[in-house]
Amino acid sequence: MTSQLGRLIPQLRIPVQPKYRPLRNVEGSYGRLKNLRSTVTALVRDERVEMQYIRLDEARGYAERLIHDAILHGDRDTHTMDMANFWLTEKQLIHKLFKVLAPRYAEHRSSFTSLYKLPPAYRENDKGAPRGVLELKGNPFPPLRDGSTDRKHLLHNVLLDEARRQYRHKKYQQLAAEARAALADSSAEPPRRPSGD
Amino acid sequence: MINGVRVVWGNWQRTIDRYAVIIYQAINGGGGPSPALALAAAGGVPHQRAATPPGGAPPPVADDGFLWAVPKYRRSVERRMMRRYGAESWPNGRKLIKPKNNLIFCLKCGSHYLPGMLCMTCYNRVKSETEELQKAVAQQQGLTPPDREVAIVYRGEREAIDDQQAKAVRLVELPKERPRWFSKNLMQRTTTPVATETAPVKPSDLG
Repeated sequence: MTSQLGRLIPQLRIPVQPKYRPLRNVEGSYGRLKNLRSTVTALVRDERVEMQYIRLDEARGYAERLIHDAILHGDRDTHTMDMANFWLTEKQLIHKLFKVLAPRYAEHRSSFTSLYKLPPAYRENDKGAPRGVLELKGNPFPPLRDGSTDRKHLLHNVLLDEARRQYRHKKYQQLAAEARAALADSSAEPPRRPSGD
Repeated sequence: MINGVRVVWGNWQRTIDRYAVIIYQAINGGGGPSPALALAAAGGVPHQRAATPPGGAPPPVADDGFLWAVPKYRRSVERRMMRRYGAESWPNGRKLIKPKNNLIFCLKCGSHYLPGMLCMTCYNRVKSETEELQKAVAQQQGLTPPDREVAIVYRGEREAIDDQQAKAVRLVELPKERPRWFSKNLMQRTTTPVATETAPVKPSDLG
């Protein structure tokens, strides 16, 4: 019952801060919302954006929620369509949300976006905020961090492999010697039958 | 004890200031020239005291000695250096740049980067390519609503995609070779149709 109910509620598969980020803006909370809207729109349009880290982290939850709503309810749902209309300022992207992103993530069991941190830029008198990269998973662009980091040829792994191989070789020789000795014993004297009582 | 010393010191200061005012007034003749000097200057005719002293100095505060916020004591070299560069024991650390001892090396390009962050050398390479691709996609898309996945096709790769695959995605062709570091295998998933028929296997022999 609870699992079925859980499927109806959109769940964020990302860590969410207990308190919202103080994104200061001259227009106050409305300006903050405008910034977040433009960030979500840029993410859906470009599939990979680089901005201030806190702004991306804040907008990420809204983008995830929007996609999850689109998957759960589809484009016939009034509330979902209203939300899409609100968050996507470029209206042709509403089509992309329902026709491209919702099918893409329908079977996903993890978050739909990935967030990366960029290192601080060492400029003179640098006072810039930390930056990050937010991307939609499954985008057609070259990967930011591919998992194919081959650690097989690192020196300690080579040495460990060799040590493991030698250990195994020694063990096999030992086992073979034991088996040979057992075979010699068994051929010397006939096997005894276990007594019936 | 310390407070008592402070109070006594404050009283003593106030007394000194008051005496300084009195001495100043005695020198300047109570805000004007001294009577003898005034007589000599005006030809023996006494007159009222002038409003401002002739020297142009402002009149001192009459009631009590009062010091404005100015440095009272010389700041020692040690303290000056401490304020300038901070100290190890300060809550927010030193103001000097600290060496980073936790750098790691990128297994791909060999440059160093901070743990938990992206390698900037690899990222810059990916970023320039990504911006180029985004520009090409946006140019091809225009304002028409996107309804299919995008597949990037570099020069010489169009022949490998059959028409059925090409219909399932929106091909964005680029008039250049694929970068060698951008593996083609990564593109396999977007150009091949997704398997639709799947048969779930039920668990058996559960007792």
